Amino acid sequence: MRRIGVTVDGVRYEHEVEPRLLLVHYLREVLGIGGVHVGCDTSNCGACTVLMDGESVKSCTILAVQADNHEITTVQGLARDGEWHPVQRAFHEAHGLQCGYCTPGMIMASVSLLKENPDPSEEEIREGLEGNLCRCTGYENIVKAVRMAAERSGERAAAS
Amino acid sequence: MRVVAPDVGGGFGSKLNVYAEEALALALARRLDRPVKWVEERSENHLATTHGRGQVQYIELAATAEGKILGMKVKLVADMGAYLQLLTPGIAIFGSFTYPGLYNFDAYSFECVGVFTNLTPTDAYRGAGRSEAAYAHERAMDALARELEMDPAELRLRNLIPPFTGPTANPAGVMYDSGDYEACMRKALELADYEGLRAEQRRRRESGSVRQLGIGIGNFTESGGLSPSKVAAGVRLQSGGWEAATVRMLASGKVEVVTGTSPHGQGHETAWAQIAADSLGVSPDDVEVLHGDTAVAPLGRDTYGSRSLAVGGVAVHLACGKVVEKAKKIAAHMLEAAEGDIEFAGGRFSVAGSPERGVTIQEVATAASLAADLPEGMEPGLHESHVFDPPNFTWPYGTHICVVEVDTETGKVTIPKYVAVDDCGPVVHPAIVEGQLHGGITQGIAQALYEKAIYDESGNLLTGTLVDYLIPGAPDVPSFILDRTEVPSSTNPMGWKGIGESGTIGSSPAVINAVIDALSHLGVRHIDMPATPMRVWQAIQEARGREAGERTSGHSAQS
Ligand code: FES
Ligand code: FES
Repeated sequence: MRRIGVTVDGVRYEHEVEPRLLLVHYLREVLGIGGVHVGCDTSNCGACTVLMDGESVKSCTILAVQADNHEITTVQGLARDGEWHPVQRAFHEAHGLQCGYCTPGMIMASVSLLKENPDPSEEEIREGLEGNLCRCTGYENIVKAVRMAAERSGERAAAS
Repeated sequence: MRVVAPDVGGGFGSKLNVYAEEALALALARRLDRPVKWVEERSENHLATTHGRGQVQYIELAATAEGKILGMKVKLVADMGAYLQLLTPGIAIFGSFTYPGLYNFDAYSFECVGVFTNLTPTDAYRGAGRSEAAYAHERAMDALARELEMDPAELRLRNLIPPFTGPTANPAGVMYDSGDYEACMRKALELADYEGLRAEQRRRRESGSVRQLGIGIGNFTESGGLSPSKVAAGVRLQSGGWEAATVRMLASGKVEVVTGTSPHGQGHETAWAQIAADSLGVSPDDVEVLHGDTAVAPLGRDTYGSRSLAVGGVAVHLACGKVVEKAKKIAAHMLEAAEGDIEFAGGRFSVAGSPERGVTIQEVATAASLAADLPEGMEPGLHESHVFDPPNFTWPYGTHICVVEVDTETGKVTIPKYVAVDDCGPVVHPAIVEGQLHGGITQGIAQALYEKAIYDESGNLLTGTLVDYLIPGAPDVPSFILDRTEVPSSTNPMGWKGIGESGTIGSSPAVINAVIDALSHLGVRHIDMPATPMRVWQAIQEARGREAGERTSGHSAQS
């Protein structure tokens, strides 16, 4: 067992964990954050995507001990003062989800994508979300949602 | 037993079955007298969840030299897998209704042999039976067009069933509900700029471009709205085809809708709230849709076969109608008027001729709940149920046109344009309909270009993970151009048909027809799904080899 200290969605946690425990299992089973999904066992689907120090990672590809002293954001930590994150709002408004299984990962990957590239083209969005699979939406409205979020933040930036 | 299954993830057919592991978990829980949780991992899911399709198809067309189809003969060998699951033998048979597609001809014969194999059982997968049918008849139409040296769109137009509005027998003997297939097809051709595409295709052929253009059409119908219980019994399905709904207006004026359908992400809560709001004249925000728990919604048949709206949604609508009927009696009593003089519009009952005398349906609901002053002998409360057993299937249809670019050096296929014109009758919620099409088309494209369950010789699954089984990601699929026509179904009072499976049914044939069309001038006539770069490249090499062989042996004239 190893002692780790991780900040998850703004809360600092300390736990003794098995060195082989995956971050996704730490988040789901130890911390009870059900918004982090598991969609595969081969690191293909991206349903488990979270931000580590602001950058997207598939939380099934890293160990909990590697998150020691790092900051993790899950979809459950995106909202501010009861207000959805602009990307969450765009997914809702653009019908960017159906069953919702891929959605937490899609949203986190999109947040990270927009941080790197605030004004991505449709093609750049598709490339940027390559690591996240969706079985329901055919991606069309997911791409639309990311464009919508980008345009709104562009407008906000222009207005301020 | 109580089953709680709210908002399960996408099912696409696989969740219809009761799996052995589920029964095992129950048995263990009883034996151990404690809760048992069973989590199926992705690779177990690949191995043990029912698979789809799995048919070898033989299809023959008889036609005149002018391209008028006279008859169709279909022979199938259908892979049942190692064990029969819920609908295994029924899937291929269900498709037998729709092999004639949108076309009119006299003679039809269908034969199917189901075979047990040492593979994973097959069962319903989005489009079940109809996807296979559409794939076969649309591939055959293109082959016939090539044989007759006729444009494939023109050949199809010549054979469409003419417009009709009530039940009409198709060549397989089932009753289609309504349709104007030509209007739908012409709209798609126009939207795709079919003539322009053919011109561009000619240019690329003449210049010997490495990237050849192909245009593929997928005309299809699907039997949606499963299913009339009598038909279900006729094919020995041990399950009725009805769907139940209860609509309760509470004392507060809020509405609860209990549905037996089970949303898997299709947006039933949104659409059912809208249906109830429209029927009752209340705000959709005042409607709560309850589902997914047998203690709350004990009656129902689930989600499958593009049925949720066309059966379950209709049940909601009809239950609302009963609520309005009862409310009208109470309103007449409250307004001291004859029931026949009461009008209902926008959620308000008023007396004909004096519109200022009225009560809202919410006020009626409160009065019905207080029950202090109701018409003589009336039961208190404002809640009604309806169980809808459809008299026929619904028959959504569409024309999908896929444009592909095939790189003749690598065999890679890309889709620069995809047009789909669908008719699912009047649309309740356009964004949901479009979403269903996006996802459905993508699954059909996936089947056509990417996905395949591969086994070794002893029946071991080699594609047991998402590493080996290629589900397309966002860069692998195009953006879609959608449009629709709206011919109401004659099967239910709202004319709704359902849209869940249409995308999957129309897309696979459109994609493969396009790939073959791109390469037909090189002599390619057939490529199996999925048309992976390797298969496409091999087909090109083989066609070139054949041509070269024919040239050297001087027999090209006989090819
Ligand atoms: S669970 Fe599929 S990528 Fe992490
Ligand atoms: S919404 Fe169902 S997997 Fe993406």
